[in-house]
Amino acid sequence: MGAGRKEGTVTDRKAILVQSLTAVAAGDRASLQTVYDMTSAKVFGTIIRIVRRREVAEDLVQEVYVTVWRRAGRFDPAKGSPITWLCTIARNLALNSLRKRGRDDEFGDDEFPDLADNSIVPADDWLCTQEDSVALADCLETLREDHRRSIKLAFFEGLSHSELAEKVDVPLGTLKSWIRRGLAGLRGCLGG
Amino acid sequence: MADTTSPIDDDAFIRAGEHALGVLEGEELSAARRAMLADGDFADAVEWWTYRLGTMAEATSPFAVSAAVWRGIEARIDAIEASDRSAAASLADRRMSRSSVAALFAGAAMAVASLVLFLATPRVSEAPDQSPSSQAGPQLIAQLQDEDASRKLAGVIDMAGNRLALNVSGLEAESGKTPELWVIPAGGAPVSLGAIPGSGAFDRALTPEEVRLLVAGSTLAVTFEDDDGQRHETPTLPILLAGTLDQV
Repeated sequence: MGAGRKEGTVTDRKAILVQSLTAVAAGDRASLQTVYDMTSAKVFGTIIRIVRRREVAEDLVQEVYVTVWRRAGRFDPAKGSPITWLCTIARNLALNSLRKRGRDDEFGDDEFPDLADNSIVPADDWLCTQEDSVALADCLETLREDHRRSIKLAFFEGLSHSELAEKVDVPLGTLKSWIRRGLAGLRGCLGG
Repeated sequence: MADTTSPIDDDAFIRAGEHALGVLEGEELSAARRAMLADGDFADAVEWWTYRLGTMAEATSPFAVSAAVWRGIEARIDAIEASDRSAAASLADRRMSRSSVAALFAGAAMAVASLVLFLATPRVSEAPDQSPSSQAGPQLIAQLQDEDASRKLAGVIDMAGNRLALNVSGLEAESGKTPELWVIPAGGAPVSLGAIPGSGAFDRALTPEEVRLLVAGSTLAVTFEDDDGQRHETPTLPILLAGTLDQV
């Protein structure tokens, strides 16, 4: 990413990203690289959280930006932030890959065996301080641990009720209750 | 978008959250799919949850990607553009056979279906359905969506009543164009089911010939075509949405 883009204000940089997506929709390859430079680490983080394998995750990063190239015209800034749109595409592609390929159940929730410690890059505050994502993260922290973990497992691994119950080794009814109570807690928290 | 003042009751709102999270299966999933079609408030609640839960992905740690990834993206885009130019030239020359188009649809159905909203895929066999709607007769359901969920089509075919019901969003076409629905029987050529609205609900009776084509395993697809009031013989690329019909 160019230094000029990094040094802008949060508002400037979000605007650059929206403008770049608009230019991508018009077929501007250089703008796609701008979008890639500004967001690929976050997109990769979303994907590696789900598929765990660097090689698979990097293939999926390519798929995300090829999708962006073909569908940038569908991005509507009125409906959400660019990074939410990109992360949604990334998650859907990663979960579909997971279903086709199978899960690496031997790894814990925060284990990324193919990544060296120095692969972690500093968080881009302008990406991470989205009001809604912070609100959700804060609300998740208010939930009971088993409720929160069940919801996060479902989200990041695409697991159904019965698959979750098997993974965390609790009766199906218990698991369903955790999910429902967790969602009720999130609703109350997010709804203020 | 719905909020916590949603008109649906608390239980349904939480069920919408389960649907958005992708944990429902079996009859619970079927019921949620039907509610998505029949109950706009439930669909709004699912959208509310989908957006809220979707922000969870943004909280992941960023990781540096290899330098080779961008080169791979450029190579893939080069290949796609070359392929698109070739396909466009073929269609322009009217040399592409209907079976060739069918093969394209089949490929697109596999590709797009794999990207259809993850929560739309039942993971276990359906339990006996006791709901009033299912007791009315067998139904076929298709839930089509593109990668970023900007274009969606949910369709229900009532096999007993010979009716087609759609709920569509994001398919608004430019002036002079209209979205057109296609059915592609397994191994067959695409057959137009006519123009559909770009958004909103749509319901009509099916002809006996359409009922014959609309069977489980057939592919439904949408393209943009000239808005001339005609059903077209051959679809125009690109394929906007495609996916298979599943029996409920």
